[in-house]
Amino acid sequence: MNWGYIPDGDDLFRATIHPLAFKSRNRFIHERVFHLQFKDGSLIGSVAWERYVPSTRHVHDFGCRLAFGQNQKYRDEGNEKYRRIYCGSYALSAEKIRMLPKTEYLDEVTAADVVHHVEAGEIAHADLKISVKASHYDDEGTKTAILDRLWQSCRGPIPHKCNCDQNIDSHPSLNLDSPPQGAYIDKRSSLTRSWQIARFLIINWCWHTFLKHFMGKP
Amino acid sequence: MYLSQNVATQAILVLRSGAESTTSTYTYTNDNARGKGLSATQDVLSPDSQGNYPSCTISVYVNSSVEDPRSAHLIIDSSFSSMPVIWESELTHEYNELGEALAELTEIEDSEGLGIEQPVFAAASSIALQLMANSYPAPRIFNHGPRSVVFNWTEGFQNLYLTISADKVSALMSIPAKIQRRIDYSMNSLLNPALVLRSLESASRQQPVALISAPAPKPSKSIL
Repeated sequence: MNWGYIPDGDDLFRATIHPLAFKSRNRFIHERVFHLQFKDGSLIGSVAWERYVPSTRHVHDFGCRLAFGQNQKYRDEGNEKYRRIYCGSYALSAEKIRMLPKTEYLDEVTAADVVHHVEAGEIAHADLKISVKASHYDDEGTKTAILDRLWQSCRGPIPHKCNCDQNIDSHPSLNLDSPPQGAYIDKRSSLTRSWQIARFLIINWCWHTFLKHFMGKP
Repeated sequence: MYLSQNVATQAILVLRSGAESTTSTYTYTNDNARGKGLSATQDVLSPDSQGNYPSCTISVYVNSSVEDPRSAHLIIDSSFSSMPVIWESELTHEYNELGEALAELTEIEDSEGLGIEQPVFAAASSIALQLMANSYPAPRIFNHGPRSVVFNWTEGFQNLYLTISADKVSALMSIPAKIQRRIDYSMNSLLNPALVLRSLESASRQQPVALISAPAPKPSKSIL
């Protein structure tokens, strides 16, 4: 069994961070939910795998840790004006990502996949990798087309205010848009959800024990 | 219906009535004819004090080589009584805001792609000027990296994107279910962005787009 393989039916969650997905006056830009960057002929992004964020509470914990980590980095660099605020997440299935190469007018996309890849101590982190071959289309136009398709596949939003952001008056999570696929609904049965949460808690305990004893991290 | 770029950029007349819109594309026989056609249209399209267009008949002259214009024009019957109007001052205001937003993008200093490069700003400004000159509605703008800026228009579930990099422009039209059309242009070949966008709009709606070349058909033939 391939433990790292993400099944087509599994959901992936993309955290929305202010100001990355916004512009001036807190206007939400849904095409910037996914932050994709070209690297070696592929567009690379990040998502969280449902298996390791099995409930919305875990999804939001992941997002809050993400923003906290970015703020910590800025504090260390002395740039506290670049405050990051986690606003919530959007969900999409792994199948939607893998269908990108079959999309009409996206012939230059040769492969698209999402691969489990623990990063920065986050066991839920997965790489979104979209391979793009050279074509008559401009790379920047290709990126716009892919971002449009990803947004069209999303469900949500699942808005959230982290504890450290509760004092923000007009929290940007209020400005999140609803994608065309509609609201996020957890379609798992309560039995399945309970089993997946129990499995996650055991794996997470093992993971943190490993980090603590062998990597020296708390 | 697919329009090749060289045809689409010659001349397009867009007529809107409420939520419906119809588009006709003409290829003119010479500059004189083009001048007559557009001036006739502009005269009729003057709004009243309430900002609405009166019901009217528009005559578009497509061939000036014929002695009697009445025997050489097409009659387009269309009601404009409910046509929304964008005042010039409103359009100018919207484009001023667009200019400010573009300027803001060039001033952002960061390493995460929130700002844009100077050549992209120059290209986007040039296209914005041409769109405003053609009274095309101001777009919403955003960027997804420093190497381009994206103009976006939304109507219902349909999105029209113009991704502008320093030397290329990519047009994309999509609905939630699929991408409807993609066309790339070099900056040099994109003579009139507004006309290209209008041709994309009409083609994606699968509305009839009549291509007419000289000699003109008999008068009184409706093409819409």
